[in-house]
Amino acid sequence: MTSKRAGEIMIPLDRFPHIPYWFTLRQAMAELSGVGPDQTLRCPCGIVLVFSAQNQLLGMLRAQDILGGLRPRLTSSAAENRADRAFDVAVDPNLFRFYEYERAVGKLPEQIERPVVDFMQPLATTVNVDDDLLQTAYLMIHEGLDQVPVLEGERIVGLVSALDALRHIARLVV
Amino acid sequence: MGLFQRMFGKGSDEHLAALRRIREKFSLFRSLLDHQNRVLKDIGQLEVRSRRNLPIEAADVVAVEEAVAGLVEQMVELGGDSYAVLRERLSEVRREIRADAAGTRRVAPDEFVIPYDRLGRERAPSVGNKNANLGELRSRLGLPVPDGFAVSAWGFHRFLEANALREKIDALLREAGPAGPGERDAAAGRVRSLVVASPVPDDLRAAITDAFEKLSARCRDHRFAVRSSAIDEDGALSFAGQFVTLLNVGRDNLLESYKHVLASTFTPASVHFARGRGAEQFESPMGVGCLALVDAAASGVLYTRDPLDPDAPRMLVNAIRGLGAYLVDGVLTPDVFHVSRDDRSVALVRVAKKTVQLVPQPGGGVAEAPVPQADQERPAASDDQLRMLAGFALRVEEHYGVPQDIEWAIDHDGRLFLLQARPLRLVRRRTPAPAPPELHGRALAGGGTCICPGAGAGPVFHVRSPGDIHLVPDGAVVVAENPSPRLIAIMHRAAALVTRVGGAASHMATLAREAGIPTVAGIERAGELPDGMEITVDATAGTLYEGPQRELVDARRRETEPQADDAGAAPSPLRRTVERIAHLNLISPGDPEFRAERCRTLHDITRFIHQRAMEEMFGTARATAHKDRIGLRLKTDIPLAVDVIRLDEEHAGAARRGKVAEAELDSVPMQALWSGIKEEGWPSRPVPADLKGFLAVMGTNITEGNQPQFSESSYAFVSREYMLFNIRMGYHYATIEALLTAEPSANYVRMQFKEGGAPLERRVRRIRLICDLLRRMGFETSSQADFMDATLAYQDADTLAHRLRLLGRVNIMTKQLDMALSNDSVTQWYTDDFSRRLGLESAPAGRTGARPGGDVPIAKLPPEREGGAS
Repeated sequence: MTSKRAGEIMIPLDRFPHIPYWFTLRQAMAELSGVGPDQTLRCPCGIVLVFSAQNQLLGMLRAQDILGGLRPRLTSSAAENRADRAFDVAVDPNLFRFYEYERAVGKLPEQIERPVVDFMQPLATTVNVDDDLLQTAYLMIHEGLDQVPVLEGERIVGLVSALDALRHIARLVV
Repeated sequence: MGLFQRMFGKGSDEHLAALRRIREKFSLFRSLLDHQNRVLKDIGQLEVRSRRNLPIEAADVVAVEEAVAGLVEQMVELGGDSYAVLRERLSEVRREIRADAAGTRRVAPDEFVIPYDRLGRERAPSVGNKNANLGELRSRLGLPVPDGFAVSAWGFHRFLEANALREKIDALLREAGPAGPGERDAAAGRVRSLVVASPVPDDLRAAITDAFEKLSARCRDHRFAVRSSAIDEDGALSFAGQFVTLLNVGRDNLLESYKHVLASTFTPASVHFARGRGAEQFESPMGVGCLALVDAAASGVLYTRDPLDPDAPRMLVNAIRGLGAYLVDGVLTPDVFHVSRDDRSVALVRVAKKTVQLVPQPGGGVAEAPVPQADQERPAASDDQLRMLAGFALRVEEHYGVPQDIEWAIDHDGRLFLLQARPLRLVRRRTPAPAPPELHGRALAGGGTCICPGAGAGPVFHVRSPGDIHLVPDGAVVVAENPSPRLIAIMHRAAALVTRVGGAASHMATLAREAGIPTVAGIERAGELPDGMEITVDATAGTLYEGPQRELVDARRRETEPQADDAGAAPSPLRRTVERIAHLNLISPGDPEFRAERCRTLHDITRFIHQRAMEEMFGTARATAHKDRIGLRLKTDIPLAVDVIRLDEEHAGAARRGKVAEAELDSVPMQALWSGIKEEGWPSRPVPADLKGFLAVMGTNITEGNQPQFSESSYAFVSREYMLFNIRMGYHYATIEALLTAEPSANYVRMQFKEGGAPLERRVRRIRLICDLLRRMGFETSSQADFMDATLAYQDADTLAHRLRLLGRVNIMTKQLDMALSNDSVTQWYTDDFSRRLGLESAPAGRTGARPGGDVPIAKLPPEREGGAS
């Protein structure tokens, strides 16, 4: 039995919602939440792809990135801009007391208009379409990724998700 | 020129030439639009006259023809020889107009001369109405009409034939060639001279002099009047200026006078009308009357009904001293009397001071003479004379069965004569009644312009896009944003039509009047009425009322129905003529039948030229070479490279070093659009430097490797009132054209939107979203794949400036939006979100997405075609 290639198990790029990087969190939420009743078109993996003005793929925006963008800020530190920072509440549960409900909700309209580029995950690691499934899986484990972009030549053509990788690896052992 | 030389430096002749060319085109374009606006107004007036069964002057028809001919020439100049076909279309329409008119002017053989004593009204087609009526009164009713005889139109025919005048006139007109109004007057003068210089043929001369000798023998006073008596067909084109009366004519100048009267039929209008078709078709056949001159002590006009109050039981009499010409010509203010129709009692309304009078001269002709002091403020006629006159008048009215307009005179012996009798055209109910007072509290909106009078009631139905037109239920009151010609589709089904903007002159107005649908324009608030609300449109008064007001509708219907005295008229030839001028066949520019070859009326030609002129200007501007060299670079913090090319010959705020500041954009539409772009702001700040971008499978543009030319700059052609802005924004480009003048019917905004960087289905979704937004702004939109064309016209400059500002914002909002539109739901979400942000009212509930042939879900579209649809 031969192992699958990354290109065989990837989800093609056009299945994901796309937005330009200057679009707002509100617009990203509309894309992610599959607005309206048309749930069949809901995006896979809860990811929105973020593009440059030259239509180049810049990064990915996950649900938790959006949540990170909406969280009320206690400081104005530039460090806050990266959502992969430890969530303040996790560091010090007492901080949550400062998050008065009204104050947090009151800040939402302002927060929600911030551009996605400030909260997305930049693309760092990629695999090639011909890369072996196991090789791809190891890379994802190593980098702690739920998804990895797949390159064909110089172009990104799709994303492999951890869940799909697991599904195919499971077939190898059963 | 010096300025440009300094701006562009030496060796830029080519650039200067390009700039000069586009400016010339633009100036031509503006003049053409002004011109066509005037043509539309003239056509509208002809229609209104035709609907009211008023006579139409050939001169007015000729004026419209000439104006359209001018338009055609401007169009050929603007767009080139491919529009020369319009000349043929125009000639064809003119031929048809003449063919219609010619059919009404046949002269039947008759005696050359008929004495009044054996002349009756049935002979009007041969001798003219004036002669025939006088003969009827004298020979059948025994009323006092001066003795005389008529020379028939057959005599006129003989005169022309014997002198080969038609051929000579044709030759003379051919020589003259095409001409403006001044030359036309000159040509008519030459024709008249030709007529007067031609001898009366022997047989006709013998008949006339014989009748004259017999008449002269019967009269003690040997002075006569020679009058024209045109063969006047109801409903035919009328040629004004052919009513000539020569007073105090004797034996010596009888034939000369006869020829002068004949010559008067060749007016500038009729001469022009004849050009190219042969004179015989358009001469107005002319009968002539010769009758004993009444040496009038007093004369005047009697109406058997008071035109100002036709239901009152009285007659109205005007009187002056001397010959009647001073009254008919309006030189003198007359005495006014009322005479009761019941007991003929006389009531003096006004005695005017009559200082002068017209009297016959001993040697022939007439002259003005003073009225003796004692007579100046005395009534010109006695009560007895007036009572006698009233008695005669009532007999005439009874004989003809309709109210009469009678010219009369009293000679120095106190004898009364009737000089002319014709049906009185009453203006009854022409002044619309005010709405009943109980409606005052129920008015919803007013102040509209009446396009077609009448009233109609029904439920409101808003037509916001062309697709809505097919959904209009029968009997609805249609409320539309624009006076769009497309509305013709509902005109025979709807109860009434209301447009939020527009005035009396538009293509739609013509159609509405033809259809006879009560129509009112310019009621802005009509847009706020809820769908389905029952209202009544009083188009006559330009007011909307709550609820169905049946009595008002019925009252207006009675007003607009043809009058009894109109009904007798046979309007068909005239109607046909007006239809050849005013009917509109070319409705929609998108229609394959919208071609020069399909222009069948003058209105069609005008409409076609209007549309094509805009397209030519658009195309010419876009094709202009060296835009970057003849333009000034716009100084702005928006990262768009815009070359501004100014079309006005002179402009304030001279350019410095080839740049122009935003504040120096002295263009109303450009300022409006740019303010919208600034308000929304450029969306993308620079990407953080540490971000690495990857090429990705996106739309066709990327996969084909043809990166769009980001270096290509945007450009704008501007004048004070005009803008053509081609804006390249990432992967899409939009072209926005606008004309904002003080004349709403010339104004328009047009936007085309094309291409994009995402796959076709997403680009199509973006087009659909933009169409949706623009429809909410009142635009008419059409789209094909990822191309959209939207137009808004007939609005005042302020309204359009506001729309332009919104367009500026829309262009920024939708930059690269196509990539985000992965499904219909999210597209709808963006549509609603943008609408809210732009402050646009949402589409009426229940009708969105239900337009036939409109919103098919993208999922059902065929797969993307090769290369998209760019």
